[in-house]
Amino acid sequence: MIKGLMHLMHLDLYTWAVIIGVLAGFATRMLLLRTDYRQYPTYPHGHVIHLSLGLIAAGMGAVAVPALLDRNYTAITFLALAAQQFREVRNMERETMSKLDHMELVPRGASYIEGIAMVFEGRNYLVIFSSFITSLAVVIIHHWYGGVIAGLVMIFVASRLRTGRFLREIAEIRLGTLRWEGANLFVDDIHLMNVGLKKDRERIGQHGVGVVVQPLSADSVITLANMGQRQAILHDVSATLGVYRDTGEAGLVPIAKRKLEDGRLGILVLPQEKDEHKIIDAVGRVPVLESAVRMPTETLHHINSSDRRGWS
Amino acid sequence: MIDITIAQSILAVVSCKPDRVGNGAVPVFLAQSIEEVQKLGATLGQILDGMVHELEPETIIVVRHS
Repeated sequence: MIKGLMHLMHLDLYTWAVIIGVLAGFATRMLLLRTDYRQYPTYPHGHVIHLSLGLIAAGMGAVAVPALLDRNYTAITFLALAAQQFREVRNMERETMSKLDHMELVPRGASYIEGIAMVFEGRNYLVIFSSFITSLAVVIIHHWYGGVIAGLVMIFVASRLRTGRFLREIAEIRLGTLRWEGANLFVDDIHLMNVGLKKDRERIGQHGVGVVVQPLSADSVITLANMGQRQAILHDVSATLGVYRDTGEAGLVPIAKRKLEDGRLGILVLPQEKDEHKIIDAVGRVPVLESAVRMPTETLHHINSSDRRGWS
Repeated sequence: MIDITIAQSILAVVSCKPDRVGNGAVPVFLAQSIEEVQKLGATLGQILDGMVHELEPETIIVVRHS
């Protein structure tokens, strides 16, 4: 045993680089594998798929450094191959989720699915990057502990890069009052829909909760206008708190409509569990979809500054 | 299996005002009272998996949105 350990301590630098690099990469993937009820997939096999791909990515990143230093420049083509593979995996992820989406009572919507698939691909690149830097650090510092320090820094950086923004950061979320004007349902002053059946109206009155999402800036007005973002809100709330609906009950539908004047969003949710505090919390924790983010103020800023430079 | 769905169009009309609904391409169901309009609407909505909207208390339509 001790002999084995002694032998291990005398590994050459490149082997250390690969070992520490792979470990750091794999640890990054483990950390990024935060599974909750919103993410697909939440089951053991999903873990296996993600971790195996993470291990492969970590291996690629770690091996690249010794290969390149050995003037084995073809190694870089393997990274390109890996990128191709991960893109393929993203397609697979998107297809699977789109198919599963038809079976949901409140679907995720194409934008949300695309967002998750994109994150899935992106995380593998983060792993490659993390193990590459770690392995490079071992070689530069000439000692395995250099890699350990770099690895820890990379894991920290990756954990900072992991989190996107949440809805509560770009909007104020509060409860609204549901009210009827004949067959028309309003939350505060925002018209939601026309419900023809008295039975549905009673059930919405009993189980429905109105939420108003007020955008905090001109940019978030555009983000909230995005249909994919709205669908993501409805899906997330339904996934978190359950949904009071079934097939053949088309009248009981969670819905989000926009007040055209000021961009406020009126939402009707039909949770299984009518806990208002939890509903506000669930809406607030909906991720802001990358595909829904628009930055008109940034664009205007650029246009103005290029005007000043006479580039118009 | 080919899955064909008719969506975003009126699937059925239920009314207790015969003079308010014409002969179109949409099935029209005539009812005797507002209560019956509601009852027929509920049944049709479930069968067609469509949403029931009220044009006026005496006339409702069944629409499938997606």
